[in-house]
Amino acid sequence: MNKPTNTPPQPLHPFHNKTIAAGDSSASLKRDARRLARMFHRKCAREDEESSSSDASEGGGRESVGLLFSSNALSRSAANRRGGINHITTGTDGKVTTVGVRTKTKTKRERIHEAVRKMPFLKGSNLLVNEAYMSLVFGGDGEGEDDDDDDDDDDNTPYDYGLNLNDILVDDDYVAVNFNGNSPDSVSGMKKKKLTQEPNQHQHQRERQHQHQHQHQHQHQRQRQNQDQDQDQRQGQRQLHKRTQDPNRFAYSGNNSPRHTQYEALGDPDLDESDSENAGLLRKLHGYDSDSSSDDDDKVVDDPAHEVTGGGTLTAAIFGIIKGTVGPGVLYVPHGFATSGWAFAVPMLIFSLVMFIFSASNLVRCWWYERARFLGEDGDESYSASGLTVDYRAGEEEGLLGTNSQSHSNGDNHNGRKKRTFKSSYPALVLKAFGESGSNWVKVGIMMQQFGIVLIYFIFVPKNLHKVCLDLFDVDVPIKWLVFVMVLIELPLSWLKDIRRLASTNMFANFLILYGLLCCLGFAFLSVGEASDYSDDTGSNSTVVDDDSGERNLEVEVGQLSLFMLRRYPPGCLLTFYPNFSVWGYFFRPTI
Amino acid sequence: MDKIKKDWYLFIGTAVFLFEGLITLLVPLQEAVATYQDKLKFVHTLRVVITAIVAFYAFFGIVCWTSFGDDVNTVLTTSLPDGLIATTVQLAYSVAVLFTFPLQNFPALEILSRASKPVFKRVLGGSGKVTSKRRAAVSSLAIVLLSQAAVALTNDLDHIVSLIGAFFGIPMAFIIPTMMHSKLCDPSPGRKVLNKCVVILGLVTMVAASTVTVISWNAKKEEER
Repeated sequence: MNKPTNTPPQPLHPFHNKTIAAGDSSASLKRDARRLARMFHRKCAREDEESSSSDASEGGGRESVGLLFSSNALSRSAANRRGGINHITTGTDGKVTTVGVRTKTKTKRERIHEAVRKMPFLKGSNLLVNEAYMSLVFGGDGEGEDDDDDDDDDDNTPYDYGLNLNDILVDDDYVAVNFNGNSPDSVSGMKKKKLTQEPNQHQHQRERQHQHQHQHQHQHQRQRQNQDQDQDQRQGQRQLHKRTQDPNRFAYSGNNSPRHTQYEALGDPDLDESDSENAGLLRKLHGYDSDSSSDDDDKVVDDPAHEVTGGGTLTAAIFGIIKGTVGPGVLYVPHGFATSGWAFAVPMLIFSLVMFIFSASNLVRCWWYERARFLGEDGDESYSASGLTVDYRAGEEEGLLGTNSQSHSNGDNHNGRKKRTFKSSYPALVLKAFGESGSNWVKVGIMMQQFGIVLIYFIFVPKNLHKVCLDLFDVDVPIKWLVFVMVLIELPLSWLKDIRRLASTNMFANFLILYGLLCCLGFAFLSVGEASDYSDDTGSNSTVVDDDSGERNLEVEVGQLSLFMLRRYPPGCLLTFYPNFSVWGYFFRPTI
Repeated sequence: MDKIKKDWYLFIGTAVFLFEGLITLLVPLQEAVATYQDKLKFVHTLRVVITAIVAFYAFFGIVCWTSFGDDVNTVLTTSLPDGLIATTVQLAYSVAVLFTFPLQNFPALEILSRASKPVFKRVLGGSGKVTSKRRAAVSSLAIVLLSQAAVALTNDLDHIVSLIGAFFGIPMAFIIPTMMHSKLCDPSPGRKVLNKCVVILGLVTMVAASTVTVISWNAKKEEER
C-alpha cells in the first residue's frame, strides 16, 4: 500500500461521462459494465490482499461508491429482474450522477424504498424516503471512505459518507435517482463519524461475498442484456441517447500517452492531491490498478475468467477439455481402425497425440509469453491504462457483434470473448505473431474446419435417422428428405445470434452422447463376449455372424444390458460428463 | 483383425480430426483457470487428460472394431445390432448432434458473415453493415449449400473426415502453434530446430495425407461409375 507516492498524472476517468445500462445491449455499454465489474474485482482483490497482509483497517474503505454501486448493483439488478438499478450515468469525473432504478412494486414510495433497499451496499445504511426526497448515507455501518488516496497516513478511522439524493423521477415501474454527486455540497455534506459496529475484518468478508455473488450473476446479466433489450428501458434509453451524443464519450481512447495529453488538453480540473473526493477516488483506483499487475499474480483471481467459470478450477478445465474433444467424432474411430488396421491406427493415434501435445504446449507457452508481455511491457504504472486501452480500441473497431474481430478472438464461439485483463485467443495470438493476414488465414481455417464438421453432421444425422425409420416404421426414407428436414430444423437455429440460449439443450445433448457411447460399448462387449464364447480364433467371423444374429441381440433385455453396463462402467464414469454449466457458459459467449 | 489395410492413409486425417476444435479452446480454457498456480498446472493437466482421451479412443476403436467387424459403418451407431436400444442410441445421437450443430456452426457463420461485409457493400450499397437479416441470409445460404454438399457426399463420409482432418486439422492444430512458438517465445536454437522439424513434418503429413485421400476418393468415384 505504498505506491501512491509516485502516481503519474491522473488520466481521465474511464467512466468519464458514461451511461451504463443494465439492460442495454449495445456492445460499448456492455463493455463499460464489464469494465466496471473488472475494476471492482481488482479493488476487491486488492482489498483482500491488504487485509491479509496487514490489518490495515483503512483498506476496508470503499473508495469508490460509484464503482461499487455500478458493478455490483448493475449485475445484481439484472440478475433478479424484479428490480434494482437499471442504469448509471457518470459525470466528467467518473462520478455517478444518476442512477436509474427499476422496480416492480406497487406504490411509489414502496418502490423507491424497495429499490434503495435492494442496493446491496446500502445494507444497514441510513435511509430516508419520502415522496419527493430521498437521502441516504452511503457506506452504512462498516464502510469507510477515504478522501485521500494516501492510505498510509490515514488515521484508520472509517467514517460515513453522506450523499444526498434528490430529483427522483418515478415512472410506472421505474425510478430515476439523480445524485447530487458533483456539487460541492455533497462533499461538504459528508459527515465524518466514528464507526463502531462492524469491525473491518467483516467488511472484507462482505466484500468478498459481493465479489462472488457478482461473479455468478454477471452471466445472468449478460443474458438479460440480450434478452430484454427493448423492454422497460424508457427512462434509461432517454438518458442513454443524451449521453451517446456526448463527444466526450469516447474521450478515453488511444494509448497511454495520448490519453494523458488529452487529459491535459481537456484541462480537467485538478485531480491532484486536493481533498476532492473524486481525485482520491481516482487515485486509489489507479493506484490499485497500477500495482495489480506487479504483485497480485500469485494469488489474485483473474477476474474475467473466474467470473465466467464460477470456479475456474482445474477440474472445470478438465471437463472443458473432455467436452471439447469427445463428440460424435468418436464414432468414426472404429471404422477408421477397420479401414487402416491396428498396426497403423494405434501408432498414428500416438503420433497425433504427441504432435498435439507438443503444439498445444507451444500454444499455451505463447499465451504465457504474451501475457507476461502484456502485463510487463508497459510497466507497473500504466498497466491498467494499457489494459483499458486495448479493450477500448478493440471494442470500437468491432461494433455490435463485439469481441470477435481482428485483434481478438475470431468467431469461434468457444473463445468468443476476450478482453479485460489479459484476454487472448488462438487467432489473437496468431495476429500477434504473423499479423493481419496470418490471422485471417487462421480464421478461414477455423471457418472451414467448422463447416467441415457441420457438413459431417449433415451426413451423420440423416444416416442415423434413416436407420431409425427403417427399424421403427419399416420405411425407407430417402436421405435427401432427411437432409431437407434437418435443414428446416437448423435454419432458424442458425439465425440465433446468441447461442448461449442453447446451453441447456447442449447439456442435454451431452448426456445423450454419453448414453450413446455407453450403449455402443455395451453392445460391443456383449458381442465380444458372445464371440469369445464360441472361440477366440474366429473372432472376426463370429462378429460378422453377430450382424446376422441381430434377432438374438434383439432379445437382449434392457435390464440385462444396463446391469452389464453398470458392472463394466461404474457410475463414476458419469463424472466425466459432470454437468459443469459454468464451463459451458464459457463456451457459449459469442458476442461478449 | 488385420494389421494393415490398403486404406491406411485415411486414418491420418481421422486421427487429427479427433481433436476437432480443441486447439481453439485451449487459450480460453487456460484463461478460465482462476488461480496462478492452477494456470501453471494447466499444461500438465491437459497432457494427462488428452492422453487419457486418446487411450479411450484407442480402446473404443479396437473394442468396437473387433465386435462389429470389418464392415463397421463410418457412423458406428448404424452398425449396432437392430433392436430398441440401438434405435434409442441412434435417436439420442441424432438429437444430440442436432443440438450441437448450431454451436459448431456459429463460429463459422460469424466469420463468414463478417467477411461478407465488403460483398454487401458492393452489391447493396450503403455501409454494408451486417444486419441480423443479412446475417440470417448468409447463414441460410451456407446451410443450404452445405446440405446440398452433404447429399452429394453421403457415401464418402470417411474420406471427408479424413480430408478435413488432414487439410485443415493439421495446420490448425500442429503447424501454426509451433510456428507461433518460434516467433513469439524466443526459443533456444535447439528448440527452434526442433520446431522447424515439427513444422516440416506436419506440412509433409498434411500434403501427403490430403493428396492421397483425394486421389483415392477420386479412384473410388471412378470405380463406382
